[in-house]
Order: sequence, then C-alpha cells, then structure tokens
Amino acid sequence: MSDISSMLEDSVTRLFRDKVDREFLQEQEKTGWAAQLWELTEELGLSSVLVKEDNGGVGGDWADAYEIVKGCGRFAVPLPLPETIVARWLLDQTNLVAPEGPLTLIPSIDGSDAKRIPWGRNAVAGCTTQVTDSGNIVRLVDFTDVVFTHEVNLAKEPRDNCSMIANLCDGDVNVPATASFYLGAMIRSAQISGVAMALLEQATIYSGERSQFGRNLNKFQTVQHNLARLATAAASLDSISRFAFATMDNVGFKDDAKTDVRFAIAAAKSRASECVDLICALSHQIHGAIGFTYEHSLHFYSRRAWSWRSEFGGSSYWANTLGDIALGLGSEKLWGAITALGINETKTAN
Amino acid sequence: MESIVDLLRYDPGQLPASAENLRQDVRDFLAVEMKQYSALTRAYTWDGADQTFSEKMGAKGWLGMTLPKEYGGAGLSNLERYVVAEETLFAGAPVGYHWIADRQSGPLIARIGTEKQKADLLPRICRGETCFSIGMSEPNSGSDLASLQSKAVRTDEGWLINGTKLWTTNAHIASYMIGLFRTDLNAQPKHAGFSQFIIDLKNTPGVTVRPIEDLTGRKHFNEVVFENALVSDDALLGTENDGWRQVGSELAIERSGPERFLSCAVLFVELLKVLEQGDDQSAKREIGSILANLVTLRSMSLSVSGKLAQGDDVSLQAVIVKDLGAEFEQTLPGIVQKIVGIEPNLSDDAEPLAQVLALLTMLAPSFSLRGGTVEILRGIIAKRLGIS
Repeated sequence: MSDISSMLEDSVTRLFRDKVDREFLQEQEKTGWAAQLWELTEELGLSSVLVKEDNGGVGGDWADAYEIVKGCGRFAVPLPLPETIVARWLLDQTNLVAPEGPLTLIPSIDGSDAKRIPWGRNAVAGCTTQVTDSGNIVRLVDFTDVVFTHEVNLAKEPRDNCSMIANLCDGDVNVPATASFYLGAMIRSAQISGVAMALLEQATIYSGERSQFGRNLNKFQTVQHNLARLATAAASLDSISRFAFATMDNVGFKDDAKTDVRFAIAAAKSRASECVDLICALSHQIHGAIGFTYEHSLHFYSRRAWSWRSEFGGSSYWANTLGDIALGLGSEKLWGAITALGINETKTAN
Repeated sequence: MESIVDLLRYDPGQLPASAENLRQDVRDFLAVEMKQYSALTRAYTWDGADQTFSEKMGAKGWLGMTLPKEYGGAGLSNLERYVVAEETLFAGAPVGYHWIADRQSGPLIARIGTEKQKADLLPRICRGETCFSIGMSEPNSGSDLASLQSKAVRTDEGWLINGTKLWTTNAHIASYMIGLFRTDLNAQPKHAGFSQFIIDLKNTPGVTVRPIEDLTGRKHFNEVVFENALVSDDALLGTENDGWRQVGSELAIERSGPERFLSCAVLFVELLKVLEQGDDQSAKREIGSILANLVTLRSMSLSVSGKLAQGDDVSLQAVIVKDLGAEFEQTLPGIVQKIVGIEPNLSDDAEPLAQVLALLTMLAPSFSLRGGTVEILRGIIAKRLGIS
C-alpha cells in the first residue's frame, strides 16, 4: 500500500466515522444536501485525488482513489464524491477547466434529455464521454441554468432528470466513448464493496450484543456461518473492486475492450451487483426485526446497495458484456487475456 | 486485534516481469505436451497423475522452484511457482504425481527438515521422481483432527508406528507419506503431543496401502495401515510434539492456490468451444457470470500469493479463497448442465463436453471436503473475525 493510500484511508475513515452517523443520515434524508460535509472533504482535497499535482490536485493513483470511494460506501456518505473524483480525472485528461464544487457523471444523454443523473440538483456540472465525427470527447455540461425534475433512488439519493442540455463544452480525449459509463460502474462496485463491509461490521457487533435463549447470537453456529459467508462475500468484493482500480493504473483504457481495464470493470460490477442480494439478506437476517425499522441504521446501507447494483448497469448487463468478451476472445485466447490483466505494464517496461 | 476491514483486505498481487517470460515458456511446453491428452483426461487436472509428465516438468526446472538451489531448486519466490501452477492447471495437465510434493512437502522439508532429509529428498522432488502423500484423516477422525489416534512410540531402534490413516490421496503411488501421529499420549490440550514423520511407504515393513474406489470407480485415495511399522529416528520431521503447529503452517499455501478455483477449468473451456460455434445469446450471461467469478477468485488467490511471498500471515485470507473457490467449482457442473442441457456421458464416443461434464459432476462433492470441509472453514473464518 502506498503512503498516499494509507494516509487517505486513515483520514477518510476518521472523517466519515466522526460525521456520518445514524442521526446525521436521518437528518440529511430530510434536509437534502450535506453542504458542510462536502466542504470538509474539499479541505482534504479528496475530490482531486486523481488530478495531477501540476493542476492543483493530489497526484494520487486509482488505488488511492479506491480507498476514498470504498469509504463512501462503507459509511453511506451522502455526497457525489465518487462521481466528482471520476469527473475531475476525466477533465484532467482534456484541456477543459474543471469547475469548483461537486460534479457528477451523466449516465447517458438522449438528444437533449438526460435521466437519473446522480446528485444532479446539487452538482455544478456533469460529465460524460461521447463519440463524435472528429474523435472521442469529454462533454462538460454546466448545470447553472438547468432545471431538474427531482427523482431519487431507494436511499433517497438524488437521481434527477433534465432536458434542454445546452450550456456545454467539449474537450478531446483519448479514452473510449463509453469510459464515463465504465468508470461509473467501477465506482459503484467499490461503493458496494464498502457497503458489504458495513453490513458485516454491523452484523458482527449486533450478534455479539443481542442475546436469545440465554446466549449471544454469535454463539449459535448457524449465525457464525452466516457471518462467515457475509465476510467471504465482502472479501471477494474488496478483492475484485480493488483489482479493477489497480488495473486502471496498470493497464487503463486501450484499443480493445476485451483486453484492457474494461474487462476488469465488467467483472467487478457484475460480481458486486450479483452479491448485493446475498450480503443484504444475510445482514438483515442476522439483525432480525430491529434491522427492518427506520430507526435502526442498517437500511442506510442496504437501500444504497439495492439501488447501486442497478446503476451504471446491473448484473445482467455486465454479465452479458463479459460473455461477449469471453466469446469474442474464444477458448484459445481467453486465458491469456485473464492472466494479462494482473500485469503491471509500467513495471514490466523497467 | 486488527480491524475486520484490514483482515479482509486483498491487495492486488503483482507478478514480476520475469514471471511473464516464464509463463510463455510454460505455455510453449504445454502446447506440445498436452496434445496427447483427451479432454476427459485433462479434466482430472491435479487429480490425474503421470510420472513421466512430472519428470519432464522437473527437467525444465519447474518443480520445487521455491527451494534452495543447493538442493536442486531455483530459489525463486512463490509467485513464479504460482505462474507454473496456474498454467498447468488451466491446461489440465496431469500434475498429480508431483503436486503435493511441489506445493507443500518440499517447502515444509526445506523449512524444518534435517540436513539429511533435505539432501535426500529435495533433489528428487525437484526432478519430479518422487510422489508424496499426506497422512492426516483417520477412520474416527475426519474434520476433528485433534482426535487422531494413530501413534508413534519411541523405542531403542527408532519409532514404532501403529494405527490407520484414511483418504490418503496418492498413497498407492507415493514413495512417501508425511503423516501426523500422536507422540505424547497424555498431552493436554488435545492438539498438543503430535509429531510429523516422513515414512517410506515402499520399504517399511508393517505398512499396508489399500486403495479405495471412489464413486467414479477410480482409485486415487487409500487406507494406509501401520502395524508395528518401525521407522528410524531420521523419519521425525521437525520438532517432536510440535506437529500441530507445523501442519498449520502448510495450510495457507495449500488452501489459497489456483487449484482451488481451476478444478473445473477444462469444463469451462469445453463449454466455450461448443458455444463459440453457435449463436446462443441466452448463454452469454451465464458465461459472463462464470467468468466474473473466475476473475474474482484469481484476484484473491493472487493477492494471497503476493502476501505469502512477502512473508505475511494470510491464513484467514487463504481460508476464504478455499471456501469461495470450492463453492464456485462445485456449482459449475450444474450451471453448465443448465446452459447446454446435455446428458453427462462418459462413454468413449460421447462429445468431449458431455464426458468432462460427467466426470466433474461426480468429482464435485469432493471439492468442499478436501483441504478442510466448508463447515470447518466457516468456523475458522468466524473465529478469526472474533465471532464466537
């Protein structure tokens, strides 16, 4: 683990553990935007983790960004911090100047309509990658005069619609036209990995406190095994999401979706989305009826996971994408592509 | 105690550039060697044993790679061994003859063996000549290993061994067993008082190896009976009465390797071969889902391997790989059956996919038994997380 990673993980954990507790989340769901918390993340420079130092950023890599994004899931942080991290990285690949303030990713634009934009009403601008006749671009849409129709996901996070996307500028970029969608899927897989950890942590604590039949729940072998299954799922999601972020560093976007980071992202989001049922079901089962109340904090994590698994493509979408990759490579080349994903090309070159 | 987040952390394992050159060499070798084996033979992977093949691997310098050069090894890290292991497994090479020796007996002897044991055994392991077996389970001790009854008693001539080992894989072809025996009958707690012995299975009077047919009709595991079998003092491996801890130290590498998720690799490849010729859109999602699992497990296994190479304690992470890997391998035949809807068929003129499906459907129950049952593994995971 790099020094930056370790430092980031510590400060992210400290900040969010301090500030984002049950009362905070309940309050935030009523009032909307957590302006103060956003300012605190900005003071730490979190949204600029991937921006080059010359451009005023932290100059970290994707492995560093993973710690922040996972933390956003683990603590159910009600901010578009993961989206802003990606948007700032995308803009940093172009000659466009990134605006101050929270940004977001626009999942798709259909003519002048855009739907289900995460935190649209709170963001100052949104980004997406597109293909044009003269090459691929990052499109930056200024939200100043945009009127949003408010929608939310199951966790009451804003997912807003708008039409009349007008005030925009484009910057040439050397990433695929689908890059913003892939990176959106990648951050959601890391957030789900964080939620899995939270669901496990809460279930572990609760099962050590709650007593029935004269002993704590965690003394029952069935409960222990359910916790073990939850832990293995959380471990696997940490591994594959971390792997996708590392592959972004080691391989990145190349010419072929079958052999670059898109393979790893498809695997990560497919697994993360598919595991949501299991991790939520296990943690809720261990918590019993109390975990089903609004008063308890468990739902802040499970409701997010239930929505995040569908955002930027659900398990079917990504499994299909991976199936295309597998059949496209064929039985002869698939294994070679799998093993090549683990290689650090910069190290190999040395 | 470490936090749960740290305990369940899987930093990406990075293979060194040298390992990738090695990978290409192994692939070139396998491209030639594997031509002679049918899909069905390849489906046995590390359950299949072929001494000639193992000796060829040895001649290439690909066995005992982590062992010191003075004993015939290559003095490389576990990561190089990982590359050779996963390449041979994915190809379905018959690695069973050397697998246990290369994976754990060799490294264990190198770590705690006497000079004589090292000089005598390690070069032969590196040449692929010597098959090892591991004597753990007994008729009345399966998962409850601490209840082992077989014992070794010190006498003037050496150690006198009595008892029965069961389910000992490859004992019928192995030259040696590294067995765990009770050496202190009064030890408390129960798992104290065990010692490991290297037993010459071919030349020790009083040792009888009886193969046991498994449900496929094949003989690969055994009952090994010891009746006043006398072994010399040299047979003791490591420290007397320290066997339990010594066995524990082998487990991380035993449980986290690529064999924990590649046992059905040949089935996956045969499935792809069939599907890539058609246009079955509905199968795509299932293929993708299998692949996502495979890539995830490899990322976990490689992460553990990287940490092992750094000398970290990864016993918990390794158990998790084993648990998830077994579940993946075990469900794969059923998923393939659902996708293609063919009847499993072992007959000679059946399609390769039907043959491989037949074999692995029948082998699958063993995947969550060997190397620790899933129940035991989940108990360990809970305990290590501080739950219990």
